Amino acid sequence: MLRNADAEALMQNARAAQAEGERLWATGDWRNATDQGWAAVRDATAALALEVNGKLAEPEGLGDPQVNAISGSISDLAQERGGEWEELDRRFSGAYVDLYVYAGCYDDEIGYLVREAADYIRCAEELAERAAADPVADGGQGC
Amino acid sequence: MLNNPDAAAMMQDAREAQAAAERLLNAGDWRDAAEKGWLATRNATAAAVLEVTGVNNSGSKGITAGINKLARERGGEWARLRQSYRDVIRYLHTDAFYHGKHRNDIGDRVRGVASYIRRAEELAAAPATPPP
Repeated sequence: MLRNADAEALMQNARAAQAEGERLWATGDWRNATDQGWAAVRDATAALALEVNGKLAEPEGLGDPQVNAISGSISDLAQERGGEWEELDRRFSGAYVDLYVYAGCYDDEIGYLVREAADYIRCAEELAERAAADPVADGGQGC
Repeated sequence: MLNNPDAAAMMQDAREAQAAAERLLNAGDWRDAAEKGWLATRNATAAAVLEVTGVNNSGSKGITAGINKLARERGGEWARLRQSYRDVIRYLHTDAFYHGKHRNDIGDRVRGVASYIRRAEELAAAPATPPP
């Protein structure tokens, strides 16, 4: 359970999107499963950033400002905290490329990433809760 | 050295693109340096996929599907190479080049492509080993 109500709502959205993504994948609807998988990772990441910093990073440059801010937030956290925060940032890159950048292009990877988003959410929530308890903790404890 | 002449030519092109990327970076043109770094990464990956699978992908999505498949089937260093490939797409190709977003680690990321090319060539040239 996250302390920031907006962050908690986003984390719940993420879980719902991930479950819907798995359901859609199982029915063969890989396009919409892709979209739900990306929504799950995107919202879990936004929730993490909100819980830790109280806000998202300022969007820089062009592109979708929301995605830009969320991507920048996890990049900044990874740079600041290292360890498993960097690992989460790398996992974000995977979802970003295969579920967002190449949305609409089939790849066997989609099913794996949609399922894996459940663990991504779990890890993001664990990091958020740990960071709330100890704001200066680095990422060395294992997630 | 790669056996497939087309793959070897693509790997050489990747090295030349990386050298150009570093020249642009040194000249202060980080945005075009990022795109040359992506080109180098893309072509090194295409060369590795071609050498190992015999499949010549002309589009970026095909190359991505190729490295995804190798990462799933072989794991280990191939999975780590795929992770670096995804980071380049996100940070150099999309954020820096398309969106004009400058991060303070852009120089390290562009220079890091030289290591990516070496890893891709070594993996492509190595005999296949079964996944763990």
